[in-house]
Amino acid sequence: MNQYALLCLDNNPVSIEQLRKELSSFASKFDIHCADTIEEAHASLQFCLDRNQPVALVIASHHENFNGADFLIQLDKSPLTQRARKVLISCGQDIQAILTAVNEGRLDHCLTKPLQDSLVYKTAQNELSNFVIDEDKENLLSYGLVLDQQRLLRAHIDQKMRSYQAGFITDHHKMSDSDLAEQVINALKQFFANEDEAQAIRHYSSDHLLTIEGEDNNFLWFIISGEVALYKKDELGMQREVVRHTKGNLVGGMSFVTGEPSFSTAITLTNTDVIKLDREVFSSVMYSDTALLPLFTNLLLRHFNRRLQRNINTKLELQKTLESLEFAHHQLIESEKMAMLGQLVAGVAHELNNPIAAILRGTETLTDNILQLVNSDGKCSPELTSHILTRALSSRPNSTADERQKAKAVEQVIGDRRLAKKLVRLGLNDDEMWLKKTRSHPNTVNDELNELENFHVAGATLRSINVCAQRIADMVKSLKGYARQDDETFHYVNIHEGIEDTLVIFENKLKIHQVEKHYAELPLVNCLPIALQQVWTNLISNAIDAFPTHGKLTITTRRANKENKRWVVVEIKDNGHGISAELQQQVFTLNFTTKKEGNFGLGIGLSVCQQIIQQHGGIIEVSSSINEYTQMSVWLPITEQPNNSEE
Amino acid sequence: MNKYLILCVDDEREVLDSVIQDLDCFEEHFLLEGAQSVAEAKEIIADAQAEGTQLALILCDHIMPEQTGISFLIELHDDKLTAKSKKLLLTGQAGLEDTVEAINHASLDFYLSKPWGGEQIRLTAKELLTQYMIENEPELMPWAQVLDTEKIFNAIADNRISFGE
Repeated sequence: MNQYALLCLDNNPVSIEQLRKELSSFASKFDIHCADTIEEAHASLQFCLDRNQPVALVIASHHENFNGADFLIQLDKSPLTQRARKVLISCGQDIQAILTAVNEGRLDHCLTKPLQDSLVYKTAQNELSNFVIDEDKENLLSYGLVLDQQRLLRAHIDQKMRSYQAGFITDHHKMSDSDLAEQVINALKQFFANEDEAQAIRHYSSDHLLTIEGEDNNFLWFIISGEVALYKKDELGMQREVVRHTKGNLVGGMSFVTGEPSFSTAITLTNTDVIKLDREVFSSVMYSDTALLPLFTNLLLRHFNRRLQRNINTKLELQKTLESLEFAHHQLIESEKMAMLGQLVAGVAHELNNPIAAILRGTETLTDNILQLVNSDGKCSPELTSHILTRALSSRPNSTADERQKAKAVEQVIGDRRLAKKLVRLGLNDDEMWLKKTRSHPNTVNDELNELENFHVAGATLRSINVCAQRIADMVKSLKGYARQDDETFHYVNIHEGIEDTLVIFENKLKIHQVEKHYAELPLVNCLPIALQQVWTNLISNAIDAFPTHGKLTITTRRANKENKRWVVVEIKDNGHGISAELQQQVFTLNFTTKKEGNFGLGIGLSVCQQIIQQHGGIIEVSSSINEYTQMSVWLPITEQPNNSEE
Repeated sequence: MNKYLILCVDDEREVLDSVIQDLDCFEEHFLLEGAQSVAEAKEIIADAQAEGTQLALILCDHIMPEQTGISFLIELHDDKLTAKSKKLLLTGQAGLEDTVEAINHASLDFYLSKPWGGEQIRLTAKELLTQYMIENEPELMPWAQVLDTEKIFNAIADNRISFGE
């Protein structure tokens, strides 16, 4: 039994014989039934229906006594006959019947008698071709011998192209990634099941290298199972994991498609099954099964799109991270400021101890002293005592070495060291009268000198208290310079003042070292003075930390021209251990520090300095030589002070 | 009564003067000198030694130009003539490391922090001088009325006992 049947009916025996003859050439593909009565035609139709055989073509004759048109119309009732092509052969007199058949029965073709030779054959061939092109798409080529070969072939190609193109666009988008991967893998597995000469299906244990970054790659790997990690080197040569691939992912896709060197290094992490394809095997696979190419193309597209999505997500993440980093950075700078201030305050607190000790001692001395002054029995003239008091109050004492020198000289003359020391201390060592008197009446003189000494101690102590209080005031003033408001505004100041204030803060640490200052005449600089104070503090503190046993700090200020601009340059130089050329590149980066914990600040000082100086439109530079020196140069632009600025 | 030297060293004149002022009471029986630098202090010690006067007590600041107090004290300890001198560090700011170093070199007898009290510094000086005398002075008796009387008498008694044996 053929797939389809063909039915023709005519009550004219001659005609039916002619039809049978002309249609016989289709017999190899179609079962042909000929009927010469309507009843017989119905019986044949029923026969087909019983066999569940669709009817491809019905050719019915129609004339006055033979209603072929009606037969064609009723074919619509059954699904097996619905699709049949319908051809009516009329005698040409009954136009009405033809029109009815067209209107109600969707007549496909109409022939009129007398029939020319092979006209029925041609018509049938054409209609049958129409039928199979619509109804039996998959097997068009099998009808090639009996039907219109050209048309069938064209239809076949069109249809293949269509389904092929549709394969790229439709179908696959409904599949999930894993379904798609599953399909590709299965198709590939199936392909290699019969013959796998190139050993495409492979098993690797962990730590197997698939691709190496920067090297040529000729393979494409489908991961069937297991896990593969991709690594890429960053600019510092550090291997960074980029992504992990599992079942259904591709490795080597980019380099396989473009021929570029591998983008990353791929290493299996676990036992991994893969399908490994070189170009040759790949194309033979794709040629063998046309359905695979769109499938694969889709997979590849998804692979790269997923990668793109990952990149975009990563970028968004990075942006978020960047924002929170900026915030953290800001806080870090605040903390650096606080840490620096804390250490400064601790240093200054220590430094305040000296003058405070002297003042405390002084008041105690004075307390005892005042009683003695009040109860003094007036051995010496008031002129002399007030002279001694004012002298001690107003003049700096001689150095201890000087005093000892003089005391020795006087001792030679009067022969008593203690008296000699007292005379010197009171400034009476050059007075002949006193020297003589001491020689002749040492005991009387001793009493008088003791009384005078009380006045001297009172004056000297008051003076010392004054000097110490002044020092405390100076230190407090320089500390105040650090009390920075966040909304500090730019104004014109003499930057030497800030540097000097900073030196006061470090006075104690610098005491055992040498400080050289070379200040040039400088114009006022438009700056944030307190922010700059932080810069000087950092630079000087770094210099001190770098000092050898005998340190030397050189601070030079000068004017300079560079890039058609005028600059003030502050150079802070130490004679310390220096910074190697490689490290010089890094000193301004955040968190770069060579210092041990517990040193000054948080170790982000220089990067903060750089920010502050950039804020001023300036530059900070480092030059250094190992074991010789380090010099930090700060360039600040000179701007004209607007003349019309009135307070 | 032998003459001994008490030496105060501080680069800040005001501080130095107040130390000397506080120790004024020792001037009668000791040579009391002040120096503004380590170099000057060395000179004074050398001068005193030339006259046969030994350094009994030195009170020294720590942070000074040229040389720190502790390194000076270590130097004095390593010198035979001043090894036995009592050494007091008077400072507001010797770091822990420095101080430990001084103690480990057995060159620090006492540590007094700034600001100090007048009575405190006098008592400390008296105590250190008493120790020094007991350890170094053969003729202890005259010092009994100047320094810590009870300790000196006890020491004299101890000496008698050991001589007796």
